[in-house]
Amino acid sequence: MTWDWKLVWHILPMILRGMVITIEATVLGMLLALVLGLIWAGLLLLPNRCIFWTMRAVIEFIRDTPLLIQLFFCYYVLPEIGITIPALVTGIAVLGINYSAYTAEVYRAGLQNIPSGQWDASKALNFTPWQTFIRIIVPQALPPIVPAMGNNLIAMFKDTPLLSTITVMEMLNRAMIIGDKTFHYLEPLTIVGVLFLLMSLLASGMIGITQRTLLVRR
Amino acid sequence: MNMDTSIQFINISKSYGGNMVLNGLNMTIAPKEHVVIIGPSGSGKSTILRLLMTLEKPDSGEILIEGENVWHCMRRDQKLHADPAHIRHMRSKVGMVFQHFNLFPHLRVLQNITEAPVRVLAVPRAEANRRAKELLDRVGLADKYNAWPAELSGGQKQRVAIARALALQPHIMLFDEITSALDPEIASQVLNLVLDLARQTDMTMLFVTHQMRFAQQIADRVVFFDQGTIVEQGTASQVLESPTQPRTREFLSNVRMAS
Repeated sequence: MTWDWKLVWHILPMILRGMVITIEATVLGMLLALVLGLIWAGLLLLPNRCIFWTMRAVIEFIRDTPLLIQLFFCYYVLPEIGITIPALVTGIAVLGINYSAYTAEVYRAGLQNIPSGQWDASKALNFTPWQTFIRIIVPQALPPIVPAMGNNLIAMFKDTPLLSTITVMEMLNRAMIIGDKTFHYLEPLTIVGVLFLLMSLLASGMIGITQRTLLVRR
Repeated sequence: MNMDTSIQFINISKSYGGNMVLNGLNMTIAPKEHVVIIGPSGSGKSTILRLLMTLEKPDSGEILIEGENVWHCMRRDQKLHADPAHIRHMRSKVGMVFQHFNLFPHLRVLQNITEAPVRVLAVPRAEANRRAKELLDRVGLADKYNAWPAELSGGQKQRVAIARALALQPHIMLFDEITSALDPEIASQVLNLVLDLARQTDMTMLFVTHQMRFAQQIADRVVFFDQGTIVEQGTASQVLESPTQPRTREFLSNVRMAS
């Protein structure tokens, strides 16, 4: 097996087009996971026990079933009951909902770390529960959870190749198409692996900078 | 609105888990009265303050502030639960200072004080800033308005906390062991500030404290609490110097032993 540089330059543009889809899926998926996770965490805080146990059940279900099965179900089974969603949208939605179960845990841990005195003081000053949550609790809870959230982001990023199984044209899918056509799998797969590595390192670096920036402000 | 009484606890009971902390408490506090509650830990003293600040809800009984029921409304002889707007209206009459200050660490000192007036009372920010600086000056921290709470000493934090509570102009101020987390020298600075406050304002004040000398200086009435009930109450000299109940005497001698 020898490395063919000519092939590399030939296929690089196509793989980079796939990378755009990979990044798009990661960013949109993560935004969804961040927003949904915060909503779940907020719901888990409510005194209503019915809501609490329903949320716990939903989160548990999402965490205990494989992402791949969730993807297949949404893309291949839902159309049978009349719900047809484009592949990339399905992929982003499933990634976002799946990872929201994990981001909710990170938020919950972060929120639990806020001393109860903050809730007391806010109530004593007559803030509404919503004001307390948004203006007092969340700003304190966010900076310490940046590393854990960042790890979730990178994990989701590394899960995007799963979207290739529901026909999304992200990096792995394109690499395999090239391989199937040219019978050279070494170059495309190596390029994709290297691109994943570089972007993960970049993401780790940015997470570190974000965390340090948020700490300096204190 | 009845201004004959500031605070009324009528048959208040409260349990935590299986533990009955308050059992049928009855207590009335007059406007502008300064009442100090003393007693051993677990006796329910802080619970009284927390109930009044509506941080907790009583299991049974009524709490009246300035003659108005906090948690219930009477409608055609039917006692109904009050809606959140009413409870917030009642809560606005009460302010509280906590043992562990509970300042907002992500906001500078000035914003700690202005956040509630701006968000809750819709005071314009410029006006809120102006009033906050006046309050800071009053508590002796005018030059600290731009500092972060983490940069302050314990005594300074507590003074900011007092300014923050005063910013909402409550009718009733609650002080829950406000010097228990401070070393003695700093504690007396804070207590002197509170004494000034007591002389300069018309607020009803309720204290939970272990500082007996402070109690003597500030209290119109001292209430000794043990195991959820009032054991003895009277003027400071009555309760602290010549208590009639043996349990009171026992408690006071233990406290004097420790201080």
